[in-house]
Amino acid sequence: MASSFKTRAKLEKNHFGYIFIAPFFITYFVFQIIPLINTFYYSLTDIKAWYVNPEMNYKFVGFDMFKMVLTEDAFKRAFVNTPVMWIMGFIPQLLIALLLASWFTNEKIRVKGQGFFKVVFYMPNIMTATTIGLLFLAFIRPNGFIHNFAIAVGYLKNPQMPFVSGWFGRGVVAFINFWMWYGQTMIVLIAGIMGINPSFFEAASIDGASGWQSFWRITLPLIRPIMTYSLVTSLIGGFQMFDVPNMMGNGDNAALFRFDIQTIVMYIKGIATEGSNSIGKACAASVFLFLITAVCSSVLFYLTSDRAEAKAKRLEKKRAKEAALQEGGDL
Amino acid sequence: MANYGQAGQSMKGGYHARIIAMKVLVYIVCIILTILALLPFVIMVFTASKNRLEINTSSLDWAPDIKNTLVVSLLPSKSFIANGKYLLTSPQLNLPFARGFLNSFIIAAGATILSVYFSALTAYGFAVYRFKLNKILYTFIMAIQMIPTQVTVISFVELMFKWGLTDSYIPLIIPAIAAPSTVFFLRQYMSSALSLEMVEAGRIDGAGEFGIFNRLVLPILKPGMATMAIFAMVTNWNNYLLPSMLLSHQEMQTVPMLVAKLNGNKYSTEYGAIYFGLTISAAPLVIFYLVLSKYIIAGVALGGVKE
Amino acid sequence: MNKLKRVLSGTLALAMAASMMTACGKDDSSAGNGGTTSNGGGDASGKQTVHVYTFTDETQTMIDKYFLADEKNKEFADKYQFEYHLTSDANDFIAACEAALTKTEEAPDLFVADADYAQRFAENAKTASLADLGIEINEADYYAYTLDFTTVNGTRMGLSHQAAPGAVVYRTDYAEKYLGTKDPAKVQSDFMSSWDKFKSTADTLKENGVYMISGVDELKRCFMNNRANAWVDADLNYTPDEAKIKELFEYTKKLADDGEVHYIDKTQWTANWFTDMQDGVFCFFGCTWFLHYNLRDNCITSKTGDKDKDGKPTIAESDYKVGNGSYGLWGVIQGPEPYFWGGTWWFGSKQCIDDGSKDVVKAIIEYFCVNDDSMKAYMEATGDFPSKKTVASQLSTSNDMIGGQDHYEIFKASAENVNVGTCCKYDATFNGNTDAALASYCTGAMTLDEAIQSIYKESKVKIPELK
Repeated sequence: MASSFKTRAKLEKNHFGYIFIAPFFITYFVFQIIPLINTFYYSLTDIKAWYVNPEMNYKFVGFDMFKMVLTEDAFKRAFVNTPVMWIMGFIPQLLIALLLASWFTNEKIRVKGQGFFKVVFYMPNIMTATTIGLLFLAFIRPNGFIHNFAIAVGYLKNPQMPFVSGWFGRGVVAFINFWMWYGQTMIVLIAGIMGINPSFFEAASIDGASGWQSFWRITLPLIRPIMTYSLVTSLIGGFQMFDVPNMMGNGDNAALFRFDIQTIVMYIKGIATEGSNSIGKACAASVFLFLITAVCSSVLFYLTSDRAEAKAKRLEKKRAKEAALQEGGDL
Repeated sequence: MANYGQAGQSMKGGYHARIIAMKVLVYIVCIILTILALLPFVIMVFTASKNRLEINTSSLDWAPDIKNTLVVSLLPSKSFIANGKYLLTSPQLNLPFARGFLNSFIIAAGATILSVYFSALTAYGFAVYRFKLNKILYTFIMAIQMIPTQVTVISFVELMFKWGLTDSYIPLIIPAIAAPSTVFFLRQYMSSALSLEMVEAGRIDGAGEFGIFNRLVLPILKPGMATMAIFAMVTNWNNYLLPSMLLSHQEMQTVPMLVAKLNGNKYSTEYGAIYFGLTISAAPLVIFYLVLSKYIIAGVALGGVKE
Repeated sequence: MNKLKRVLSGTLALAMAASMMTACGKDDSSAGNGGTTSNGGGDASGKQTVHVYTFTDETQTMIDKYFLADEKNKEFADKYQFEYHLTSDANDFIAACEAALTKTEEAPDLFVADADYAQRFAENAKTASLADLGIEINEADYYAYTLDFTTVNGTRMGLSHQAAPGAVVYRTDYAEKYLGTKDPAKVQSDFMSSWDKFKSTADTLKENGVYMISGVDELKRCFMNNRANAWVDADLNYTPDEAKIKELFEYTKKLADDGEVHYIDKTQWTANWFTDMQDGVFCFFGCTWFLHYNLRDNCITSKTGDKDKDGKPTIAESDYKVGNGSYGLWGVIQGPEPYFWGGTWWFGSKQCIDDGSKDVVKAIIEYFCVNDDSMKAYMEATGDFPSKKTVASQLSTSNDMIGGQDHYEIFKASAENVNVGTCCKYDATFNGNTDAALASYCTGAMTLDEAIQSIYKESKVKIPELK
């Protein structure tokens, strides 16, 4: 009887769900879907920015803008640089974060001053990216701290020469991304590890598993969904990379490797806000950004999430069974 | 326990040594990373305390002497306040930083509150109610997480112009209501932190649905929401692209825009003042972060709370 | 840990509060002359706000310290207050100013432009012509290029207060030591009158450990001003003067390869450029305003002025003396080729006609760009060089920073020879890409052909209509 009462109450209240989620969807429609549709629409026109074209006159040009974008070196460059710099930063970011997370959650090592380290490692993330870009730009300029260091250790033979290597430039951007984000990833992973039912570890340790074994066999599979979350959010953030490379390779401070650190969003913004302010072309480039992100994250999601989650679930079930048996035994 | 016996004892000695070696490694890595994390801050603050001559002199010393370079770059000096005064009062660096802080705060705080509250509301809607479109709409939210906001930034700005919302904070605050990744996070968080029995109990006590959410559920979600609040605050405070395209009046501009101008200001060579600007641009977030950092340290996030 | 956190956040909070207070104090004091009222509105004092959009702080100094301080303009000082909108970065300024021009609230009444985008602003539909503003000029009095830059279909849209003919500013002490003479006439004729002589001078100095120039962007104006035609024609066909571009690139690269350029990088407006003014570099391609705006404060090394609150000395008038840093060790000559460097063009908007501030906009432009007496007074006070020949002919000086030379003599001769009618709407884009291409070529990151092609390619990205 009680159960039928409950079901009825639930049925009655379930329409509240729509009310709860309505603000999200209304806002999303107004501020994201409409501009998204406009992006596709404008990409077929030659519309100019509103401040050079307040009447908003434009005409349709078909796929001309797409064709133009596709043939440009700047476009190809941006679509190579962005993922390359993201990967260069993300791999060490994930590895270091994983390492730190495993250490900080390891009962045996019991790292003292953990709180301090966590606070400090996360700190770079809160700094304004424009500030960090400007700071590192000052360091790598001739006479800057890093430039002087490179001369002192013999990496740069000619003190008159600035850093010109494109890979150096990408490396600096990737390093900044790593430096800003490994703390954040670490925090998320620690949370994930602490969310694992401790009885799994107890069971494993009773089975005689070493620290490494339980890390590989229990921790990693169980935090795979969270790693996927980190990976996908980082990928999306990576494709939107703008502030740091923009500060380092734009305008008056054009570093010499600026072509090698130009990102997709820099390319888009440059078209929209400089020269003849062609919004149509900027939108065509945005459509490509949309497509590439959608494809990449879908693939990543498919590869890592679904299968891994299923696997993790199986594992969890198995462990839970074992744990239950163990607890039953204790009782 | 009894099973371990003698062999276990002798193994334990080697085991301890391994642990100690491990600990040493851990601390070395942590200390290196600490230095790495703090060094740019330190250089920034110290350079902010130098005057132009000192900065130029130190930079001239590029002679192959690492120690010297390091020492000169790192020695603090006394011009901190002078540089601050210069930054805030000089017509050459005519940047309204105090106003910028207020602007950034209004935008970041507004967007953070809206995004955290409405994301919790949305996530709760998905977590508790079994309505028809639940699964489809939640999958939709998962999917739109993958659309970078920058895709729409150009036409977003055009649209805001059409609606007369350029030079307004509305397009920077209101859209925060729809934050797919925050919804996703809080939905995950609820699956471990929230028990449906409690909701039922609330209903039986005669509380309304919004009453249950506001009075019973929100307090439980506090740790998860605090984590998201930090992320949202940081993201919105640091947002540069959109404000730089929407706000043209100097009185409305945000801190990152002013920082970018420190760089663009080619008519000034007061680098000490520029570094001072960088330093104070970072300060408010550092304070905010240190205040809320207990949630970070506690590692409260996905499923971090146990029954 | 917690203690550390408390101490840290406490300190930061204090620092914040202090900075807020300083800033608020400033806000209060400036509230009198810069409210946030909309155009045409007045504040409590009943003054109308004039919105000035600018890329340089010089504009505010000129209006506040010269125009308003002049007794004759008291009526304007009583009637108007000024609000300055300063954006330094060229692209940001163009966007901000054009955006503001489409509005009526806080729209620019008066705005200024650099050479790179003077033409673009002149073509803006909201820009008022000189005739609209009621400003009459005698065109023959002006150096032609200052008028050409803001002429649209024969209509004059704006005026510059300065002509910026270029010169070469060189170190007399190095010249005496390594070239055997410090006499400007002799240095010009024997060592600097052609690009070949310039190169062999550079070789001589290099042997003695002195760099010829600071960075690779030093020579660009000298070559690029003397192009045969603008970057594009009226139909946006790309018409570069490739021969001239090649000349610039190859010549600069030769200097860089031979180690005669201090930094193989763009240095103008960077710390390295300013530091080089103290020591180690032989010459700068400076123009009229370069002398008083850049060189004067950066060539001195010791400051003995009043100490500020922290005991740091500021620059005192007496610090501008021979022997302090490189002060007094400079000479000015024409150099290998005549050129000009920028200028500041003033525009009134149609907005100022609508909101009734036309009289003050007209008065300011006339004060700095038309009226001989006030122009002369301003030029004498700052050492700047006027856009009007009739004013220039009245100027003479003895400048002890350049060894007592009269820099007006050099600039007058130089200005007569400057002959440029080669500007276009998108100069900011083309010139920026040329700078980048030049730097890339000099470091070896690009071949000459790649570098020259990249100017077109990169410009086409931002100007899709370019043919």
